[in-house]
Amino acid sequence: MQSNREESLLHSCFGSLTSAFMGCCYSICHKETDPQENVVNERTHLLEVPEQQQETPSPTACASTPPRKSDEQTALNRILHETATNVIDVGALGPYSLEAGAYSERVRAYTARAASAALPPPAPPRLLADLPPAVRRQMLAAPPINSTDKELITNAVKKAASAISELRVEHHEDLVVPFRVP
Amino acid sequence: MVDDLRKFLNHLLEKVNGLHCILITDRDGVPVVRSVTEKAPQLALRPNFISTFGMATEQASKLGLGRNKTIISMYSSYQVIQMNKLPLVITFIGSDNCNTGHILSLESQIEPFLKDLGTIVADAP
Repeated sequence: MQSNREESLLHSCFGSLTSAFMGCCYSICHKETDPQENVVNERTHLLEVPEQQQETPSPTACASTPPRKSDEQTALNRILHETATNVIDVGALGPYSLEAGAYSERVRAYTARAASAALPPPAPPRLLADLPPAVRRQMLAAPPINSTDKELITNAVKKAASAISELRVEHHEDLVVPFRVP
Repeated sequence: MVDDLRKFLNHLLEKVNGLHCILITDRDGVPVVRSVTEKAPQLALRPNFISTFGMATEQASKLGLGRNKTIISMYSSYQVIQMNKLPLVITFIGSDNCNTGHILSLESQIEPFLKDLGTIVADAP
């Protein structure tokens, strides 16, 4: 009896050990491919690593080097172009002169286009201009200025006028001074 | 009409004391409209001279101060003021004691015509 009990205990222990071991193996080997299971557990990646790098990086390295080289070349060309645009190099420009034939051809072309172009006539310069009748009527029909404003302006002008009229020169010494040259 | 514009430029020439000519050209110095007095130096009216501004303004815009708008060149007997209105270039040539500020103020009076004149030089051969 005792031996049967011990045997059954041993069996149950062994069974639980086996299932634990198998469970560990299963969880290590089996990949969680179910996208709907977003449960955070001890297997959840802390950093999001792209799947291409997780699987076999070495076989894909050789396949990606040609596109990387062309990207680098494009970037280098862009930097070169930007530097050439920004650098100041007056000496490299050299003397430039239009050929006589090209010059006369362009003069003819511009003259022909200018003659056919409908350029607006330049407005004659003037200080006062007539307003159109509608605007004129609107301005004349507008209400006059406030009486308080009018009084303020009148008083200010009167004060300024009286102040200017009180300006005078006070004679202190002779304006004409003889030079006493010995 | 271009003749009206030329008459307007002649009027501006009379307004500014000491101003000898007003030229509106393309980048290579080919004239589109010009108004010239007999006092203007003939060598300065040639495309070789006016076209130097195109290169100068392009390089001057790389100095880190923004786009170059105007270059004023003072000589012993003349002053040359050139304005960047690409594809057009406006060139004023005046005497050395001409009022430079007065010449610069003419820009606003010429500006309204530049848009239409720009279409003339837009498709240059």
